[in-house]
Amino acid sequence: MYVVVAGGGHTGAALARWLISAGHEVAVIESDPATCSDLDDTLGSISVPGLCTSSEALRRAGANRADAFIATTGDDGANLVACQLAIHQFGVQRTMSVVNDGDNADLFGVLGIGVAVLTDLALGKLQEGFSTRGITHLMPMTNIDGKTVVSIKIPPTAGTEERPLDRIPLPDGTLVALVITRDGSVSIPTADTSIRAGDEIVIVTEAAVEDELRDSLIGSLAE
Amino acid sequence: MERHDSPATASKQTVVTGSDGLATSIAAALADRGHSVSLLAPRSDVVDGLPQELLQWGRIVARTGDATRHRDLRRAAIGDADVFLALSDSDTENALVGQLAKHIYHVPTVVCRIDDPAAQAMYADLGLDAVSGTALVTRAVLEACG
Repeated sequence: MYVVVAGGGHTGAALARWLISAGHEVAVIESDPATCSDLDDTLGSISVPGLCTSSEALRRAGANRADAFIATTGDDGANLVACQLAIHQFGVQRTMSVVNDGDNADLFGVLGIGVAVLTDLALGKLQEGFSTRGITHLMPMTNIDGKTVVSIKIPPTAGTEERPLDRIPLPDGTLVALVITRDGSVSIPTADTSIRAGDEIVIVTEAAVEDELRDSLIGSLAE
Repeated sequence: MERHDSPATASKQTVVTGSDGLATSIAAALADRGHSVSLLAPRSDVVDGLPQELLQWGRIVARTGDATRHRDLRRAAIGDADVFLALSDSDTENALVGQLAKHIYHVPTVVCRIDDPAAQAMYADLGLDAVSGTALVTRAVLEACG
């Protein structure tokens, strides 16, 4: 697929990286020249300098042949205008947007734009298992106060050691639900389950200890 | 725009967003014509640009707030509005709040200031009353130049 991404910030860059790794062709419209350079240095020549709300920048990004258009800026108004230009001026069939203020989600929906509400399930929805912090929120457990289900992907570069789960100190109140190994086998952890770089761990936890949890898991392999 | 002596305009509840001279001038003109105007602006000094008697008589109620926040839009009584005018100097803000007014709060009459010509044409095609100050001034200047 050819995908045009509006905004090369944190979310846009992470999304572009994931799309490229999944084999898609990507262009990122970004107004800040330094951010454009960073994108080109790390991901190849994918940046299109310009404002994502400008018809001209969309044209330069090849929006007319895009299979999908995804807006990721921190400004809901800019995301909305960019998606509407993509739909109505360039005929893009699939548009999706980060919505920074959840109250705006209904409007995007009414206007035919796919929605990912940031701070909710957004990163998971947008990136399907890829997140810059290494944590993807799968679902909140609304009936248990503060609990949430997250997936933590251990970076492939985290080290070569295997480590038994029961020797990794985890924050109180966390429960490891599933281990998905890098070769794709899924298991419910037992007393002698080990994890290693490239594995993905699905955990029930509390938002407040997410970072501590990730650092424990990833740090334990780097020791 | 209906004439000021039309009874239909006399009781119109109108929300205006924006804080520059365009927003204040239109807010004042509509209040003069009998609209009950709620002005939502990011800065409190917006009242300096308004005729004091309109504020004193309550024909314009100025509120400080962020038009992209639903809480502030509701505080500005968007729910009761007959007319919503998105007149800030940001096209993207106007496109967002104008479409919120139209599609989410179902305000019967919505006008948006969209200065970018391509975006303005698109929104006009989408049935949003989009006005471009740039286009109007450009036309006037070209006419003046012959």
